[in-house]
Amino acid sequence: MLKVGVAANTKIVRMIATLRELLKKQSQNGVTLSVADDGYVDEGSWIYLIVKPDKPGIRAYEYVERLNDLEAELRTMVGDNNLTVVPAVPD
Amino acid sequence: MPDERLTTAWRDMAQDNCATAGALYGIPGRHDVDREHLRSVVSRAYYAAYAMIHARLLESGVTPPSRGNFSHAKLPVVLYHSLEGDLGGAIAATLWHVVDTLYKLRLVADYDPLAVVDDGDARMCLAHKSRVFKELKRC
Repeated sequence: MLKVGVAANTKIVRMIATLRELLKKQSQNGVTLSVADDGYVDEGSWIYLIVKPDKPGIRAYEYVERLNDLEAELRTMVGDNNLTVVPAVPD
Repeated sequence: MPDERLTTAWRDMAQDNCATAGALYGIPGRHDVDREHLRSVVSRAYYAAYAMIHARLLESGVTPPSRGNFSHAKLPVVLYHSLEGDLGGAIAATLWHVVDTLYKLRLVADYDPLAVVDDGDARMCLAHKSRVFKELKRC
């Protein structure tokens, strides 16, 4: 079952907090990425964290490279491979 | 035993998406044309790879989830773990990265209208799709 919304689960709150720490270190070409409190989808065995740019004009490849870097670091830091950092989650 | 009708259907979908991505992009190497459908090239290139991976996983005897299709986000992981033995670890790991990147570029192309999707992104997705086809095609 998909759950979307404000993080109530301690594990997801911790993931988002850790992701924000990683995002603070990243600011390239003036485009900052961020994750909202409700920027996740919990699929049960799999967590999607949605990271968005703060302004228009980010280059697609740069955006994806940064998401991939964040995802790798976050997986290591929280010790969970069943998460992905994405630009969007389609309904 | 793989369902041959189903694997053939996935392969047909892969080829159709592949042809569509190529047609939308146009002739590679020409700099005198305005390429107008770059987001759609990215999207179709991803779906070509997605369908080809489904065909190969089913042919390899991997059981899909009850909903029928493997989820987009998990597909690179399933691909790696299911085909590492057939393909070798290095190729499987490369495909993991390639498919994951294709998926995320497709999400940007389809869901972030303010991001810039350029010719380089489209060409990269076509190259990634070709890599998936090359490694997974069974003749």
